[in-house]
Amino acid sequence: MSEEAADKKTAGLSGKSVIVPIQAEELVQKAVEMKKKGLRLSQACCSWVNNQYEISYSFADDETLDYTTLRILAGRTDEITSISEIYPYAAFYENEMEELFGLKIRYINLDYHNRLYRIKTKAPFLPEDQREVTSGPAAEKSPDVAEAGKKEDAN
Amino acid sequence: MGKKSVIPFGPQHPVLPEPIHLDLVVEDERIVEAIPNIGFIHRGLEGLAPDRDFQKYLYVVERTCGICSFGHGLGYVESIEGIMNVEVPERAKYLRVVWAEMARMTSHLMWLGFTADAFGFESLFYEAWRIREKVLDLMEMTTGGRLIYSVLKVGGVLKDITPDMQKKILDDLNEIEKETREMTRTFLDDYSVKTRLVGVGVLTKQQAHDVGACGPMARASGIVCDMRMRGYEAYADLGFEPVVSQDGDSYARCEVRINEIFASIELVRRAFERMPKEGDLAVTVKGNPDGEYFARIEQPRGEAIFYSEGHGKPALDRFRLRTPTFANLQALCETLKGAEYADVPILILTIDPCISCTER
Repeated sequence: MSEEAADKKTAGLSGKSVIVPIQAEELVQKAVEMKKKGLRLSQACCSWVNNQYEISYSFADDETLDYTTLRILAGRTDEITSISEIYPYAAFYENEMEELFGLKIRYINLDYHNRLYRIKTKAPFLPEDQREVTSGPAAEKSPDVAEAGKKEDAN
Repeated sequence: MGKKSVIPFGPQHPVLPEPIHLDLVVEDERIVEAIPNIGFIHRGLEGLAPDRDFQKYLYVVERTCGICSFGHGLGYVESIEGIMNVEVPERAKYLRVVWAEMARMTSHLMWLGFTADAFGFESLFYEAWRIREKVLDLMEMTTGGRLIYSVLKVGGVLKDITPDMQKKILDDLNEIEKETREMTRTFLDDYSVKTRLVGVGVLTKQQAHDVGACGPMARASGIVCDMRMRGYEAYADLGFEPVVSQDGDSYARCEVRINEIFASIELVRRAFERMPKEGDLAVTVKGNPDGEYFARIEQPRGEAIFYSEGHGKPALDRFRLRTPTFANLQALCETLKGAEYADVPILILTIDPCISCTER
């Protein structure tokens, strides 16, 4: 959305919404800054656009109702560092991104290792030609899930 | 100090209405730690967005859950209207508020019934659900549906509420308010109910902030956070004030939800008073979404985030829905720490879990 359109739509609404582009290496530092400001991690999500990941970590200020989204662009095999040490409840969001998009995230404090949603297809939200990766956590399918997949294929 | 053991709880359990699994680390009947596990009924509805026309995808989003369906539809159309810079007609904004608040009432009344059932007060469960039926009847009269309403569209609403219907709604709301007040006396003053709720599962204001709680869960701990304060749709004109409590226990969470029912009734009355007497219900929307937008609305269970991203094609490239239960799971684990094993069902219920939404 253009900034002009966003301003028009949110005119009269309390709380500004901004998207701040950052580098993957800055994520943890920025998360610490958000924590120090007393902001709440509101959501984190991922999308695959123009052959790269668009990763969004959104922080809400419950007093001013402002909404700040940190935006990271990453390649298919890039790895980002979890912020679950700073915001423990980021773990669910990060597990979800890892499982649905195959995004590699290291040091998640509660890592389900691709078994949060128990989906047979690896990285189902990616285009099919992008699903196979050669290394990293997304490539390591848990043995029981892989086994169940084989059995289902045989049937 | 006793021996620690791990008790698996759910996803199938007689007292659990929702399929969530918890590994409870227990010591002497007290919970030391709770490790949540979801994903048993994940449906991948977000994954359908790139395969559907953005107008038709609204009906998928509404079907995320049968309790919050109106809110999901509302958040989705807000996100698309945000991208396309669509100004919704004033009358449609008020109608959206009326339906959103009545949907909130049905959700909270349902929760009250479940909670009464969880602490073994079955007649109270029936009473809450009997009152809820009346609200559902009003929804059916105005939208044609009791759970999935399909009355929204990008750019406005599909149906109107006629003056006759308004009169019927206002009359019925008087009755619903009276009956809910009577029921409230039992929920908030009865000795046996208080024994099960007061001081159980305390979440302090600081803890609620630290675990990212939202909705009634956060407001019961003294956090003044309600997305309706942003003034989306017609809320800015209705003098909305959030319902907050300070104690942070199960009783406070019950109290907040009950008072929110009365607040919703008042908002519906004000909406009918201030709604333009006539006007368009929708504007024509041309083109396809090109851009991205985060819409934040207040669902019955708390803040819900709707993120849509499109690049000029009929289908969105990405739709993401962050549900309040997803955010409140960590708060649940925090309240379970130190709780007695027998209180686990009540504590799970007090976050008002909607795993159907969470497993969208």
